[in-house]
Amino acid sequence: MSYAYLFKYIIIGDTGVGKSCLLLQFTDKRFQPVHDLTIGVEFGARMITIDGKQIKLQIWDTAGQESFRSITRSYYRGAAGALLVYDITRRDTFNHLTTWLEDARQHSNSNMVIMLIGNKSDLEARREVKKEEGEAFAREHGLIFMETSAKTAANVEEAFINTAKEIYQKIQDGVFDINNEANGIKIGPQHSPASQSLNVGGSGGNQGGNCC
Amino acid sequence: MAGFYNLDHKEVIRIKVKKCDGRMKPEYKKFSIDPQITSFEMLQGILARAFEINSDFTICYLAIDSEGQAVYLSMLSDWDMDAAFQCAADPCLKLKVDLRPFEEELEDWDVIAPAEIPQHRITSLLDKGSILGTITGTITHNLGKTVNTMQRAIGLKHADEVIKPLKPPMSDMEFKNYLDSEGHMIRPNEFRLSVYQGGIEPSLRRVGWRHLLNIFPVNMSGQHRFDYMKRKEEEYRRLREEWRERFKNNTATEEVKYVASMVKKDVLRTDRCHGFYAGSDENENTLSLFHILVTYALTHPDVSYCQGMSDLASPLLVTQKDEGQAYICFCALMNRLRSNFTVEGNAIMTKFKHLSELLAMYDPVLHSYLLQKNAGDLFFCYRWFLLELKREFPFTDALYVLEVMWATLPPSPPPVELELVDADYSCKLFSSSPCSPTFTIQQAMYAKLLAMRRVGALHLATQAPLPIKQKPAGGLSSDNQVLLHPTLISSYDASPVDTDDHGSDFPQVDNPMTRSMQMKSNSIDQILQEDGSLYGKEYSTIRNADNSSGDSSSSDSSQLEEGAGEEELNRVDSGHCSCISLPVEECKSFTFTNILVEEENHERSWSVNSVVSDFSDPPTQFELSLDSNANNSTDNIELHTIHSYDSDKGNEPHILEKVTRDVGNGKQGETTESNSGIFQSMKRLLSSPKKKPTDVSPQASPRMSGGPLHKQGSAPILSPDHEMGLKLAKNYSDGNIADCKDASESIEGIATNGGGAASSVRDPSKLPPPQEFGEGNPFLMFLCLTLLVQHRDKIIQQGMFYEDIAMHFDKLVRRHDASRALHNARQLYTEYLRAQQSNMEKDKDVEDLGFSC
Repeated sequence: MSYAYLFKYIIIGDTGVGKSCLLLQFTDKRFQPVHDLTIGVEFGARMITIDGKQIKLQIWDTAGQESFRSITRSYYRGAAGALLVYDITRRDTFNHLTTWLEDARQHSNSNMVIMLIGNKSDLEARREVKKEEGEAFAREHGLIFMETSAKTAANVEEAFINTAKEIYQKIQDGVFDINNEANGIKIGPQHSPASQSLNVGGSGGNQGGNCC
Repeated sequence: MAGFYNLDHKEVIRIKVKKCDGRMKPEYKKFSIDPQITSFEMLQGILARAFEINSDFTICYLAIDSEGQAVYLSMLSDWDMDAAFQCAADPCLKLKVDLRPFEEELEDWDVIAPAEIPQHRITSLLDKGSILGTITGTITHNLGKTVNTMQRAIGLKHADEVIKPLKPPMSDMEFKNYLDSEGHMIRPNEFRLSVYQGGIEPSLRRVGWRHLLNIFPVNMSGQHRFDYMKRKEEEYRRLREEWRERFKNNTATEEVKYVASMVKKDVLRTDRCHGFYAGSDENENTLSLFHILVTYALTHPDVSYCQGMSDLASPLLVTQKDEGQAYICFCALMNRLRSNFTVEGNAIMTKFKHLSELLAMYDPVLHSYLLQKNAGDLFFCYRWFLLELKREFPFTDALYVLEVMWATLPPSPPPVELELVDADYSCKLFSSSPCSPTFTIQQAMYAKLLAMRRVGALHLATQAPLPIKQKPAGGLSSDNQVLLHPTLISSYDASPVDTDDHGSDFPQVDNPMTRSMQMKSNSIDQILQEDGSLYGKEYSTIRNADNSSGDSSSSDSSQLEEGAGEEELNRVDSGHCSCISLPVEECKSFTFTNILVEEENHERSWSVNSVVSDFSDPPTQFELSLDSNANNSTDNIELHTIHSYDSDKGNEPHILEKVTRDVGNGKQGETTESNSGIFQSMKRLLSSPKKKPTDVSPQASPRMSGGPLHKQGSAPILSPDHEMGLKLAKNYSDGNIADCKDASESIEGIATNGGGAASSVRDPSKLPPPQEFGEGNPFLMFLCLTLLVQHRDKIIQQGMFYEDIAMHFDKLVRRHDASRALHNARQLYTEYLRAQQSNMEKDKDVEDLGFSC
């Protein structure tokens, strides 16, 4: 299946906040209560449609452990979007956001769209971080914010798609240099570099299409 | 023949055959048949094919006559055969095939009076010269076929090819053949060879793994091992209580708390689908896993805890079923694997490099494809290396893969005893430095990988690197941030929390039922909660309802648990008793040498010929094998298709009959000594190729000195350990194929003919030597290669990019087919070893090659 654009995402955040589960919910529409802990980096991909255009999201799901942090850093630069995830039932994961954000800002390209995600919103009874706190943090740092539940799928689509919309908007605004793949954006195979115009039709040729 | 009339229909008859051919030394083979469908004529046919006999031969079977004497009875008809099945087939039927019409060698089978040994110790019966005999008898015969059989083994694809296990998994009966009467492991190399070929029966894993993992110093009797385990478990308990005390006293350093919280998160999602860890988070086994990992991290400050360790420790706990014992195994395993987690990650880097070399050699097409797609670095194999493929196969299969892989590694028993702590343990633990240096060390490795990846990334680097958004001048460097991270945590920890009043938010649940459940569960949270600051207030308020019983319960239940562990150990090991041994150093060479050399003749010649004998038998010989492990790789042995080796029918080239011989010869003393000698030589050859194996260098002599001792002590296994045998035999079902059967569904990638050009390039002798290849784990490299190549067509045809490939393999987690992967890897590995060996032969003076047969 061909695509007009490919956006690279990275998912970051403390270990155990549900990064892999978010990804799985988004790509496979299922929830695995006990998910293998991620070793290194794992990948997921899904096609979405924005503005009538097929956009492939390629998502790099990183290991949350401190000792793997440097990996994560290496991946920031190639990402157009980042989902920065914390667990609303574990305040420490919220408290670490500053560190993650600094890291991300420092190692990513400046236009990377960062979505702050408070995950596990289904566990209201165990909530430790108020939604308002998340909103405030996002406001303060210029992030988009959502609370999600990888378990119930609440807001999961939205989180990924809203991020894509933001990126797409930035492309249209000319903020992103789409010729530089280091921005985490790639033009679809059928869209020759010569015709980078955003108006290119969504479903052209079919060569080299490599959907997930 | 009373038994004849007690027609208890056996489903399968295991048969051991000795073939005598004039002055040639006897050959041994082992196979199984279905008595319901096997006629005498069929049996003859099987034997003829198995030994490649073209002339007439006679068949006798060993029976015990009314006076308890072993006698050979002729088998001339179905009637005789049925009689043999009925009265002489327990535990296996011993046949003798004689190419001459008259037999004269009854004594060969009769070294030991049968009454003195239980039936299952049949191998003790075998002639002590059998190894020598087998080898010398088959060398000439086989030498000429080497090339053929190798090609057959490796180069060809046959549509009708069925993967068969090399041999059944090791049973406890078989295992005892590697021990002497007092439980000394006297034939470590043969032990490993057998595990390599067929794995270990689940019931024997607990014991077998301890040997494979090198937790015992050499020279230990069963009793010694028992005492040793007990002492080590005690030591473990002390270590564990040290940090648990800290939690109780609220004196745990930030590092301890940090490590504990990390580990907790991970054990709660490690193999939870496996029944052993299933259920609630209070699962005792999960708690044990937690204890093991925290204790290890704190007592090995240079390694500390890193994600991935829980995956490595989990199978050990499942197998050992005891926390302390699993910890000991984990220490031993980590001795080898810690380099994956530490320092600059050179170990992992080397593995990437080697796998890439290997792929380039065996499948240049795929290799160049990956290069072209910027995936040539193979970083998507990171998990494979870090966890040694543990997560790539279904759990039970992974156990099998692990043990087979471990069996290829050289025995490396601890010189004195296994250390449960690092040398710098005590000083570091007691220093309450808030941040662990290990985290920064650990990250360096993967960072390096990824830095490389980034640099080379086509899809990322089409342009000059983007300007990095700069932090304000005062911003922390990334490394600093990492270093500071634990400190940050500690500042959170200062948030208002106190352990004392956490119960006040919730009514204390206190009834006998709850209490006992609490005592039992002894949950991780409880431990962590004992220092409430770890999780902050919310944590305690949320969790304490479940965990209000406090400190006492955790210590109580740990006591229980320990007691149980001891008892269990007792049960298992009590069969062993005292003393004989192997010289330490002698076993320290790759089992690969064993694989090649184990049949080696005693004139010290090298083992091309033994390889030959491995491959010398027609594939049909095991057709009726009990183990016809109906494998689902019928249509494609991918690796084969890549190479244009030209040869005839290829079937499992391995070594069932050889195992039979190994197990079958009762001459442990000489065998081991000679093997040791060979290993010795092999080792020296490996390190200094110019030396002849005969040169006994000064540094070698201490090792050699163990030989006579050993020889002395290892007189034939005359008095087997009945108790243990019986005990183990109880939960052991003979002939089971154990766990390697439920391989996941066949993976669709069928290599067709992508690498026709490969054969010209392919020369495994150009690969690094075994002690370097794959950082000392060459077999892992071949396993990884097979996993890659099995999916080559899919990867290439779909034009996958790096991420696609990584995703593809991520989806195959726990779904690879173990039997198939092992099958292919064994073939490649054998080829590799053989090539390596001829390398060495080239290097050394060639005159030694005159096989003195």
